[in-house]
Amino acid sequence: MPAMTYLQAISDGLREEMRDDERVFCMGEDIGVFGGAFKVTDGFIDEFGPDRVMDTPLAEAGIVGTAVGAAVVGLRPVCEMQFSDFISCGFDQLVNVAGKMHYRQGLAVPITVRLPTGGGFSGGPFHSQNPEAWFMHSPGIKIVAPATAEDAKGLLISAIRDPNPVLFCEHKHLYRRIKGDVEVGAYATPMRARVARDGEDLVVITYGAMVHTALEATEELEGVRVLDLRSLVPLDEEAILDSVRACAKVVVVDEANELCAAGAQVAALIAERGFEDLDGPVVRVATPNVPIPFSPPLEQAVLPSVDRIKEACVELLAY
Amino acid sequence: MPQMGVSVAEGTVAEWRKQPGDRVEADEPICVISTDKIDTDVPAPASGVLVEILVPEGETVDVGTVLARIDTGDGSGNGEASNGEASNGEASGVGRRASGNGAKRYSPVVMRIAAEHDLDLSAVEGTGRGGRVTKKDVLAFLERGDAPLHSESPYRPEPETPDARRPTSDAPGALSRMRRSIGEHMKHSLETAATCTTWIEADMSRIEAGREKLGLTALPLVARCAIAALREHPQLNAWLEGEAYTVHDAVQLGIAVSLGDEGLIVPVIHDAHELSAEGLGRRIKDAAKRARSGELRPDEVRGGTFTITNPGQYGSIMATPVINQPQVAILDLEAVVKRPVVIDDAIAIRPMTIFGLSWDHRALDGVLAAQFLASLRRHVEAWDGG
Amino acid sequence: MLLMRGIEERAMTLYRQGKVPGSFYDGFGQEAVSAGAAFAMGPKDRLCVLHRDLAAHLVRGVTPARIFAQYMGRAGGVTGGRDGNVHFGDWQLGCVGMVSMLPDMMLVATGMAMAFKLRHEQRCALTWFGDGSTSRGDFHEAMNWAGVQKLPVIFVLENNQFAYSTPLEAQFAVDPVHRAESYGFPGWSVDGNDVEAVFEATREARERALAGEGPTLIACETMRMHGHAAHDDMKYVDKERLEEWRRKDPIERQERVLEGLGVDVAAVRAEVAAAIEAGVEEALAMPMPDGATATAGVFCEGEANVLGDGQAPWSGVS
Repeated sequence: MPAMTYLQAISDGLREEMRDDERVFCMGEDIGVFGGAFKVTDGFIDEFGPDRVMDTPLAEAGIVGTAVGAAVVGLRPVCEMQFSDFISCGFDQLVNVAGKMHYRQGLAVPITVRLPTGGGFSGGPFHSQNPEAWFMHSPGIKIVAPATAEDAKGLLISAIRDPNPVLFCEHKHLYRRIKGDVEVGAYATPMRARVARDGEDLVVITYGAMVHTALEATEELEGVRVLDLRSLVPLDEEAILDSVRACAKVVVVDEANELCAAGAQVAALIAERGFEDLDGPVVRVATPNVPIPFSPPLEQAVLPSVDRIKEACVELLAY
Repeated sequence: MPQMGVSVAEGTVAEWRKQPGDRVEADEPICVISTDKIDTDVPAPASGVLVEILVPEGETVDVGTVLARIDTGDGSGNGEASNGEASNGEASGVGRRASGNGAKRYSPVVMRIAAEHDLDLSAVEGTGRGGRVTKKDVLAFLERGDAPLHSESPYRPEPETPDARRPTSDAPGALSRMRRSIGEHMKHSLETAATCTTWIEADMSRIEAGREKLGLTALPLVARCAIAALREHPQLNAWLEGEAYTVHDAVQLGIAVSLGDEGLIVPVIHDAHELSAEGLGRRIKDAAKRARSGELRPDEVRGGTFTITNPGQYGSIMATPVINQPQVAILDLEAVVKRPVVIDDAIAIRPMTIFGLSWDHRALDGVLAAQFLASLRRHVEAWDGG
Repeated sequence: MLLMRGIEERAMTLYRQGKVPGSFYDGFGQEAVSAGAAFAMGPKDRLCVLHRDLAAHLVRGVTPARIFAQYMGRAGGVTGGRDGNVHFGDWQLGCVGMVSMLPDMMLVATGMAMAFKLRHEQRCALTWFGDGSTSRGDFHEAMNWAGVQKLPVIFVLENNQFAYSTPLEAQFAVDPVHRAESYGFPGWSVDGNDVEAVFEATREARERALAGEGPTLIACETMRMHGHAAHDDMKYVDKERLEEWRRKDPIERQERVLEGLGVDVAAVRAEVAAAIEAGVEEALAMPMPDGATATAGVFCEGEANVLGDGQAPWSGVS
C-alpha cells in the first residue's frame, strides 16, 4: 500500500470516483487550471477536462444551488468550498433546499460538499472555522470528518456514493502533515466511529485533527482510549456508549467553539443513556466561544492543545 | 522556512542567492524556496552580513526552521520570532465540588455496581480524589471476593470476547486467560445451542484455478461463495439470543484465526457482502496479521453474523465445529484433496473438499442447512471470478 | 387556467371551513403566467414551480384530488403532509417544489440546465419567480451563472406588482427585464394576462435554449388580485387600480378568443366544475398522515431517484 498525505488521499479518492462514475464531477472556485486553493484537484483538468472540473463564478450559494439542480437530474456533483468558512454564503441552499428536499418531496439530493475546515496556522477569523455543528442541527445533511489519510479517501468515496447531501470536513492542518498507508483502488469507509487507540480507564472522544492532538496528549498516560468519531451525522451512538461502558470516564474534545458543538451532543447522549456507566463528570475541552484569532499566541491560547487535553485527562484519571 | 499557505508543512531550499560573507539588505531576495504549492523568493528579514547558511540547497525542512543567520551589527542577532507558549487556559477543575465531601458521594457506575452486588460501599476503600471510591476500587473489591454477590442480578454480565484486554500472569500449569475464555465460550455454546453438523462434498477445480489466477488462498473465494449462499438463505446469517431470533441483511463475517499455542481469535470482516474475493482476501490477510500481533481493535471482533473456520492445512478432512454464539451456524473448510470422482459415468481426478456446517437446531432445521450447502456447492463449482 | 382558478376558489372555501390548515396562497388573476409557460415545455424539460403557479402542476399531470389533499395536509397529498400550500413538486412529473426562501429555485433550475449542457442533452429548465425576489443575491448568482455558462434555462419573472405589500418602486430602481442584458442574455417583456403571449414567448425562449443560445428572462406583467395570503385584506392597493386589472382578467380574455373559434365554453366550464367536485370528494376521503411517520424519510436510503418526465399536452414540442 502506498503512503499518501491526507491531501493526496482526498485527491486519490476523488479521482477514483471520477474514473469509475461518469456522473461524478467537481465544481468550485479556482479548482480547474489552478488546481484548487489547496491543490486537491491539481492536474484533474488534464485528465477529466474543464466540464468535469468546473471553475465556477465566486458564488457559494450558486455552487450549492446549482449542484442541487444537477443532482436531481442525475449527476453527482462534488462541490469545493475554498474554505469551509464560506459555506455560510451557501447556508440557505444547503439547509433549506438540499437538506429538506427528501423529507418534503421524496427526491434524493446526492451532493458532496468538501469543506476545508479548522485552524492552527494563523488563518484568522474567516479561514479557521469548524462549521459542522451548524449543520448537525439541520435535518437531512450528513457530516463526516476524517482524521487519517486512509479514512479521508474512504469517507470521501462513501460521501460521493451516498444518496444524500454530505458535508466532507477535511481538516486543512492535516493536509500535508499527516501521512499513512492508503489502499489502492476504490473503497468506501463506513460512517461509523473507530477506536484510534484502545484503553479502558478513560476515553477521549473526538474527531478530525483533534484525534492526533488527543493521541499525542495521552501517549504517556496508561489506559486511555481515543475514539475517533469519523462521522457526526450519523453519530455512532453505540460506539460512544460502548466506550463509556468500558472506560467509565470521558473527555470530549472539540476544535470547534464549545457552545452547542458536536461534543455537546456527545456529552448529552452520555448523560442520557450512559449515566449509570459514569465514574466521573463528563469533561469537555473545546475552543471557547470566540472567533479564531489571527496572531499565533492568541490562536494557540484558544485552540485545544496537547497540554490542555493532557491536563484534563490527568485530572479525570485521578478523580 | 516561511509558511507558504496554511496547509504547507515543509519546504525545500532551491537556491541561495547570497553566500556567507555577502552583505544583504532587508527585503532583498536571499534565497529561493520550493513547496508543493509554489516556488518563491525569500526576502531577507533584516539588513547585515550573511554569516551562516544552515540549510543547504536541495534540503527539505519543516516550516519554522531557521534557514540562515544574518549579523545585523547590533549584537542582538536576527531576533527570531517567538512562537509563544500555548496558554493552558483555566484549570479544568474536574469534579472540584464533588471532591469536597468525597467519600460520601458515589458516581453513577459505582452506585450501579454496588446495587447489582448488594454491596455496602462504606466497606470499600477509595483511592480517588479525597478518598472517593472509584469504579476500579469497587471492581477490585469484588474481585477479592470479600463481598457477597447478589444471586439475581438484573444485569447480564457482558459476554466475554476472546480479546483478553486484561492479561493475567500465567501460573505454572494453569490455563492462560485466553484458553480459559475460549473454553468458557465453547462450553457455553454447546450448552446453549442444539448443535448438529451436516456435510457436503464439492469439486474445487474452478476455485483452485481461480485462486491461482488471483494469487490468493481458497478461503476468500469460498467465503465469497458462502456469502452468496447466505444471501439466498439469510436465515443462517442470524443471531439467536434467548428467544430473540434476528436475521441480518448484511454479512459480518467472522474468520477463525489460529494464534498457535495461545489459542484462537475470530476477527470480523464487516459488511463482507460488499467485498469481492480480492477484497475479502486482503481483509482476511490483514485481520490475521493483526490478530497475530495483538493489534485487533475490540470492534473488529464483535458483531459477527456468520463464521468460517479453516483448519484444513494439516490435511484433516472433516470436523464438527462449535457455533460462535449468538450466531446460528458455522462453516468448516478442510483440506482440498485430489480424488477419483465419477463424472458422466467416467472416472476423473478432481480436487475435492468436504464442507461441514454446524447449525443450531433451535433456529432452523436440517433441510435448510442442506439447502445452504447445496447452494454453496453450486457457487463453488460454478466459480467464474466472483 | 379555469381548473386552477376553480381549485383555488374551492380551496379558499375549505380554508374558511377549517379544512385547510395553516395559510392559504392563491394566484387569482395570474393564471396565464403558469399555464402559458408550462404549456410550452416538453416532457423531458424540468420545472421549478412557484406558489402562484398551480396551473403548471396541472399541465404536468397532477390531479385535482392530490392538490386538495396537499392543501388539507392529507397523506395522499403530493408531499404526504410534509409541506403545505403550493410548496410541492411531483418529482415523477419533472417538477421540483419551491422553498419559501425566494428565489432559491432559480439556482436549482440553473443547475439542472448546467447538467443538461454537460451531458449535451437537448433539454431546458424553467423557473418562475416574483418581483420581490429580484432584490436577493440568489437572483444575481443565478442570472450571472446562467449567463456565464450560456445555459438552457428560462427565467419567468411573474411581476404581479406587489411583494406582499411592497410595491415595485420600493423594490428596485431598474426594471429587472433591463438587467438581463447586463448578464449577457435577452430580457423580454410580455403581457402576463395574455396566455398565448406567455406561451409564445416561452416557446421562443425554449427554442433559443435548445439551440445553445443560452438563457432568456421573460418578464410577465400581471396583477395579484388577492392578498398575499388569505389573511391579507390588501388595503394598500387602491380600488380603481384593481378594477382596471379586473377588466384584463386572463380567463375572460381567453374565453372570448375561444368563443370566436366556436368552442362551447359553457361545456368546458361544466366539465371543470365536475372535475373539481370529484377531486374534493376524493381528497376528503383520504386519511390524514400517521403521526408516527413524522420522523421518517429525512434521509434517502438506497438508490437516489431522479426527476421523471412530465406530461406535455402541447403536441408541438419535440
